[in-house]
Amino acid sequence: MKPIGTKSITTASLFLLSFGVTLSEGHFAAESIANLSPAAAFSIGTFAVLVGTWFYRFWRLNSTSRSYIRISNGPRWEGEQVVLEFKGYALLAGWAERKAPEEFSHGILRTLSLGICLCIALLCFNKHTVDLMLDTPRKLIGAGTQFCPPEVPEKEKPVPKMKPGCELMYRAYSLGYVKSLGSCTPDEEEEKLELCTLRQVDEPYLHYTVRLFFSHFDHVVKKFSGPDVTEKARKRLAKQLQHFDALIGKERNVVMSTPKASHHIFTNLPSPHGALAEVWRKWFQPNDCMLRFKNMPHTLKTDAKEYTGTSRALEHAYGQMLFHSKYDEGVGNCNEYKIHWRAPVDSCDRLAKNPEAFLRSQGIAEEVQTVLTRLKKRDEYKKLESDLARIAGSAQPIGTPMKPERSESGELKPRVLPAPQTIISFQCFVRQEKDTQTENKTHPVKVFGQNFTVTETRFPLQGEASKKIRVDVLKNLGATLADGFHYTGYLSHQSANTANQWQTGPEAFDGENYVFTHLENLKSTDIFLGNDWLQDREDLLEVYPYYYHLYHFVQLFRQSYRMQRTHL
Amino acid sequence: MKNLFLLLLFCSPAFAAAPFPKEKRQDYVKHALAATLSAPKQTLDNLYQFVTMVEQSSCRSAFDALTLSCLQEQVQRNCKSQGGNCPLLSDVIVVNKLNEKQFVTREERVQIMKQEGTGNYAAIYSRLVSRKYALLATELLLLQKRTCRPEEHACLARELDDYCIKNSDVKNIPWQACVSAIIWYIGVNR
Repeated sequence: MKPIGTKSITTASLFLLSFGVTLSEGHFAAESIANLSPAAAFSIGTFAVLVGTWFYRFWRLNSTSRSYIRISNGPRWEGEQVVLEFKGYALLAGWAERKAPEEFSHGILRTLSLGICLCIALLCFNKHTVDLMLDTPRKLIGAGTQFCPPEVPEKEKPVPKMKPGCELMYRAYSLGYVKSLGSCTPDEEEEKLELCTLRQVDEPYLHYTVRLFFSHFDHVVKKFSGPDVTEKARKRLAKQLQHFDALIGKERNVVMSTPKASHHIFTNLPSPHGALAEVWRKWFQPNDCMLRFKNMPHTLKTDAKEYTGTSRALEHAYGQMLFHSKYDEGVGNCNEYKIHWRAPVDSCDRLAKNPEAFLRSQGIAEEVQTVLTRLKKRDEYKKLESDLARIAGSAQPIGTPMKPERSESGELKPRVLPAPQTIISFQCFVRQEKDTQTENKTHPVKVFGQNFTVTETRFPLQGEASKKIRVDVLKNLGATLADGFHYTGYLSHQSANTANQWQTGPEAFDGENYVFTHLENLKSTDIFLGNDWLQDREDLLEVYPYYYHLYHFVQLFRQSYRMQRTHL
Repeated sequence: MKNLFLLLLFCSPAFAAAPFPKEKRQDYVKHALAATLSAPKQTLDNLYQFVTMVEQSSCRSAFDALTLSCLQEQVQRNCKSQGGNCPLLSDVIVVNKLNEKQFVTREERVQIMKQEGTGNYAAIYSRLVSRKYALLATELLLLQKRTCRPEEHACLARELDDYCIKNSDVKNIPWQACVSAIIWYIGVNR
């Protein structure tokens, strides 16, 4: 075999190694690349081009290697060293003094060096690291600019605030009729004393730097001193190695943005944008759903003759009910939700009969399995965290306690806990040939060893297609997505009228005068609670305060949905 | 033949179903705009004070529908004795009063109360409401397709109607609230 230059061999080996690691870490996956922030993508490109070119020049890859490597079973050349020997074949290394060894072409070597740097950049740069890098100059400039507040002489104790409603009690106390104020005792605000570690006003920079260094040093020493440090470290490492998959899996999930939930709805309706547009979106705009759903109008008027009218209404309702941020916080990430257009009419039956085959045919089996695996690994990781805390001797578990979510108005938002049945869901939304609405059907399904219940809604062929606002689609979809959801108008703007048996009818909008005031009556005319006469009044629908009522509908739906579905 | 055509036209469901079509709506906006612009400042102030007082006293209710019907009744009674453009002006003021909370959120009201207490509340609140109306009017000015001269009320009414229809579909302000707010802002700051 001809001798090959060590530069070529080293470059090729380094490329294969870095490529292999990057590939195994999932950095070449489309999802991972799509999730890069613009700053991270720019940093990767810059690093690859600049450092790749520098690498090529610094290692002088454009000149021939001074040493070579070859495999031979014949005679050895002068000055050659044996690196490895196996069954008469030897891997030999030597100085290229007599004959120049074979090398890759300059183009290939340049490409390989760029490839190595690209792989390193992909491994090192992500949103988090780039943000840290960008933030470092600001942190360094800001270091030592925050000072401890100057000491102030002890103030006089402020007069405690009197509690409202306790005036009589205070009077009785001052007159000596009672000896204790009881619950009327004013609350004393205790001052919290904390040691200030920031820079002192008169402290020189050097002193502050040394102080910071020694305090960090003390912290490290404290951490690594004490009894059984080696034993603890050994146990910790053993535990981490035992759950290596869970540890790596956690990092990989973050890098690859693995879905945290998988919710699917199958419908026999055609795609509102056409099959080609769906393919385009899937490949070229995979992450723009949030933007689309964010900029949605409140209303969508469809034409009865329009072929994709119901599909458009369905997609619009889907976005409004689950993601539109104008109606309070959305329930999840729209990338984890999918409508499967033109699915077979009997999708739910097929899913019940042979679930895994059906999911494979729809191309979602892998995604469902990934989410299930992520849930399993998450539980394993939590257990590992708790075990590590026990080894370290700290109170367990060390994980931060779950922070209850609150709505904008401060109310607690109850949410169901993650389980296979709450992070994965399947529903069928089928337009049937008959012109009658049938009751929702449920199918028990076992997918990858987990039991699920699939809800199937069949709605009439024509239904309310002739209506201007598709309230039927919103209501049917609500009942399909959240089991048992039924809009009762609880706390609706019409509820006061209903309770007092005031009825707002078409006559409330008659009259030539006070037109604006008459239109105020629309605020207490909820289109989701009957009032079908409104659908024939295009003039009123044009100025109908749709948001006013839809907000309520969506809020109630989301409350119900959050108790049934969630994400990791 | 012509009579038959007219009869058929008037009996058609489309005609019957829309007693408040776009043209009529824009015409009403035009009249309201003209009335506000031509009314003396004192009249506007008096009517505003009247509606505010009634809303805060005899028409005060936890139910918006009750407040609305009470205000309607009071305003109609008041305008019977005054005549002129009183119904149009009162219509604008009543709707503005009822929709103030659409413009100034609860958080903003609490913030004013916290910062200023009850003493200065009314003045700051009314300045904030006026600022919100100004924002709407500015947006209308920036987005209008045609540039209307101040005396072209019909043109401005068309633009106002189009803007508020779009606005009510993407924001949370009802059409009549949007129209009344801008009319009032233009009328008061003429």
